[in-house]
This record gives sequence, structure tokens and C-alpha cells, in this order.
Amino acid sequence: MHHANHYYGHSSVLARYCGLEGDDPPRVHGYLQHGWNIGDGLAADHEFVPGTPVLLWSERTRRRAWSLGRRRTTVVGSPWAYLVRQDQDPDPGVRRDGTIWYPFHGWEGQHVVGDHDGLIDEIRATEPGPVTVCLYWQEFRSARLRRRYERAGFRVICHGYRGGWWENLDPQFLHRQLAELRRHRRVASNRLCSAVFYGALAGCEPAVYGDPMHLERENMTFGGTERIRRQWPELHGAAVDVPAAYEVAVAELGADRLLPPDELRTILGWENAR
Amino acid sequence: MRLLGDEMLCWSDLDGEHGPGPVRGAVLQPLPAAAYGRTLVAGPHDPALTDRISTGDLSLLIRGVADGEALAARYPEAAVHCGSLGRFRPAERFDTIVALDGLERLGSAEGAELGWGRTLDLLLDLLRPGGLLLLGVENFLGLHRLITLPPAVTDSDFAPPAEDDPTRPAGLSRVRERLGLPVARVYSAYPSPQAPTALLDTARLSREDQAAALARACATVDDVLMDPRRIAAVAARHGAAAELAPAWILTTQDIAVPFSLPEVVEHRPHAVRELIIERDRLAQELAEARAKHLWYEQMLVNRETALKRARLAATTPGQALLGGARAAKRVLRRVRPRG
Repeated sequence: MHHANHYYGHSSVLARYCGLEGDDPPRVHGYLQHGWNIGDGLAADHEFVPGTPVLLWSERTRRRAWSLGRRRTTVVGSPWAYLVRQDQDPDPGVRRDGTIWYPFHGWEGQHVVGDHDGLIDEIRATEPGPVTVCLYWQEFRSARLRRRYERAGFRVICHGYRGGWWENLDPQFLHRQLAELRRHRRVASNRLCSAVFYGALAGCEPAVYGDPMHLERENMTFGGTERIRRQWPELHGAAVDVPAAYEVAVAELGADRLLPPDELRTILGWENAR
Repeated sequence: MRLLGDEMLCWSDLDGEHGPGPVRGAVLQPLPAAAYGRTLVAGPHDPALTDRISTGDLSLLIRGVADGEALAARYPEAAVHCGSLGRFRPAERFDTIVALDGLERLGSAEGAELGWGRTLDLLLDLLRPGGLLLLGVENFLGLHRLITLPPAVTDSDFAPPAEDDPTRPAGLSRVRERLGLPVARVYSAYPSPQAPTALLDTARLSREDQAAALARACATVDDVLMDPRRIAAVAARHGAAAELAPAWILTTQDIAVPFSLPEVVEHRPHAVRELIIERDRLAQELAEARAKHLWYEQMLVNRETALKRARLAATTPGQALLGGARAAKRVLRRVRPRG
């Protein structure tokens, strides 16, 4: 229904979990939360029809969404949590190495203003092993930015297009991300974001440090980075309490609230899909 | 104002837009006036009640950021803490804790759902031994629930229903037991937990006084299944005013709230019987309006048909047709004279 349901291949991941073909998932009857969110689970700038069922990742987000006036809220868990459950680690014993670093990025509509060099120095000073830097597609396209990170000695990758308005859809995005995360020992960023939670759930040691940077026209309704740091202290720092951080990641990704395939099909409106 | 964590942005309990509004009412004022020493007001209270606290050492715990800012502006000498009770770790315990709103709004949407029992334990940990606790507890068997329609669901209802909370003691004797502290007085609050107009110490008041007070207090209850004044007065005469109270206020020290009759209010509650009568009347009106509409519609159709026929007659082919028909009629009359 809403084009954001297909971001990062979310709908495909859910379709596979429900036993359907993943490449052309049926329409989702509702709006599926597409990123870790400190608001009501929906993107502040997206338009959608009032009364749309809202499908959220975590109980906490649902409580917040209700308090903000949303009534048709259901906790389904995050597509990432379904993926991690379905795709068991093929080589759990393989030694993970190094850190995968996600520099905070803007998106197509807002740009990040900040000092990449300062960040690079801090990464080099903090990370003991090899570092892979994963850039958002918009920044990956900038050869200049890629070279800056490469010159610092980092391996620079991108997981692919997020997809938007039914273009550039990439059902394999999260699969690639999962494979990369499972190769690394640590996952880090300069802001607490979905990728850090994803990595924690996939068995990485999470870390959030460095200049959080400044986003153009950032929406401060829910307190911004200052509030995130205050509300989720377990995930902040160059080295965190890993079990505590893992528990927070489980809660925020709804990994403890995953639904059986039949129930998920009913909620997504996929009962009649083959 | 200090942000504790679990504070709710875009939220206010005091403005009444997201829920029933803060606990309020002139009848409650003697209670916070009895506060002494280091005092904590926990949860949303009408500032008119907080104003009555005269100690110099005042702390306020509230979960909405907008409310915290408003309270900090109104009480610049007080320590305002914004967030959930679970995140509140003051350096010292309190001599007095004012929690007339109850325990439900001490948690926030951001934090974990602690449940009534755990919340009570956390609050009691903040009270000095022998200190004064003023605690409001809603009674789910209260008159306000038995005879009114269920209230509309609000933004405040993000937690599972409080009646289903297994850690919450049901009934006054179980509440007293769970509290674990000596309870000096229990006041029965009518007609609602958030805005009482009568506070009855049923152990000390005569049944007649109770009945009189309740008859007035319940006059303002709306959307009822039956007249609340009668049933409240009957409850009082049967000695059941405490069992059916919408809320209880428990005090751990002997605070006397002088008995007063609520003001007389001219108000006709909307009873369900009246709503049914009104609905039937509207249904009747609607049926009549529909019948009229159909009649007018039919009339218009008839007029339109007549108009069409008249227009047709005015045109040449029409005239010829009609003219021919008339001519044929004349011929027929000559052939067969009328007789």
C-alpha cells in the first residue's frame, strides 16, 4: 500500500517468512515501520491515509504511538528480526573480525553537515582491527567521499539502494547487510540508528561514539540526539555492556514479539495470497 | 527542571487533552495543606492543590515535558523532575508524599510497564519511616463504573487495562493489606477519582450525612444508566458508601478533612432511558422526513413528465401529430354523430 513498505526490501523479507515468493510481495494492508524511530513509528514527512493500520516494531513504539493519538497500532516486530530468525548463521563458529562502521547519513531530502576527517581520525584511534565503512547509497555515489575513507585505510562498501516510490527496489538489501554484519566483531556509528540495533541482534558488539553531526532541518520534536543519548545510554560509548545492549536491541526490534507466519499473514492482509 | 529519562515529549497530563486531566477539587485541599518537611508531589495534580503546600522543600515528579516546564515556571523554588518513577533516584527520602492522582500516571509510554504493585514499592521506598503518605486509589467496582457508560478511550490508555493488572489488589481491605503501612484514615471520594466533590470518612460520618453528601456529589455524573443520586444515597444508607466509592484516599497519619456538603448543582444527567427516547424521536423525525422527500420527488417527476409532453405538443411534428389526431376525431364525429 505505502511505498515505504518496500524500503530495504522489507516487504520481501516478510513475504519469504510467510512462505510466499519474495520478489513480488503482495500489498501490505497498512503502514509498516521502516526504521528505528523515537516518534510514533511513522516517518514525520510521509503522507498516509488517516485510519491506516500502523504496524510497528516494538511495544515501546506502540505505547508511544498510542499516546500520540494513533489507535490502529499493532506490534509485528521488525523485518530484520524475522530475517535473523529465518536465516540462521551458517558458520557461527567463524571468527568475526574488525568493525563495520556506519557514518551517520542524511537521506535524499536532508544533508549532513559535519567533519568527516575528524570522524575518520576518531575511528582510527578507537577501532583496534580492520574497519569496513558502509556508506548510504547517496554518499557512496560521491567518489570523493569514498576515496577519503579509502585513503584512511578503510574498506568502503554500500548495501545497495533503499528503494523509494516503487523504484530501485532491492529485495536483497537486508540479506547483504546481514552477511556483512556476521563477518564483523563490532558494529559502530556516530549516532544510534537501525544499523547499530541490527548489528547487535546479529551478534556484533555495538558502539556509538564520535561527533553525531548535524542534520539540515532536523526534526527536534522528540528531543534529537541529546534525548537519544539520555534515553538509551546502554548503547552509547566506544565499549558497551554487550548483554545489556543486546536486550535493548531485542526490545527495540521486537525480536521477542515475532508472530507465527499465519498470524503475520492475517495482519498484513495476505490471507489470500499464494 | 531535571530530565530523568522516560519523559514524554509532545505530552501533557495537566491540560486534560490526552486524558482525564489532573486530580483536582477544592474538597481535597486540606490534604496537601497537611504536608510537612521534605515533600514530594508525585503525578499530575492541579496546581491549586500544590499551592497549598507550605513547606520549603518541595519536589515535583511529572512525566510530560510541557508540564514540567509549566511547573518549573510556577514553582521556581521547587525541584521539578520530569520522567518516570522508575528513573527517579533522589538523594534523600521524603517526609511527605502526595500521590492523590494514584499510581497509574507515574509510569510513562517510554518506560517499561511496571504494574501497580511494583510502582507502589518504588514509591514507598522514597518515604521516610513514619512519614505521611496521601495515596489515591481508584476503585474499579466504584459507582462511577457501575452506572455510567464506559469512558472514551484516550491517549493516556496506552498501557494494558488496569483492571487486568495482577499486581493490583482488588478491594479496600486488600489495598490496605498491600500497603503494609498503618492507615490512619480512608476517605471515599465521589463522584470521580480525578475530580471529587465529596470526601467521606465513612467510619466516622453518620449514614444520613453520607447520603446527603452523595446525593449532591453524584448530581453531576453524566451518561448514566440510572439516576446516580438515588443509588448513591441507597448505598450510603446500606453502609456501602466505601465499597462503592469511585476512589479511596488513604492517609498514613491522622489528617482530618472537615465534612462539608457539596454545592447544589442544577444538572440533569443524561440517562440511557432519555437517550433511547431521544433516539426514537429522531428516528421518527427521520422517517417522516424521508416520506416527505419521496412525495416531493414523485411530484417533481410527474411535473417533469407533464412539462415534457407540453413541450412536445408545442413543436411542429408534435402539432402535426396532435393536429392529425384532432382531424381524425372530427372525421369520426361526422361519421358517427354524437347522440
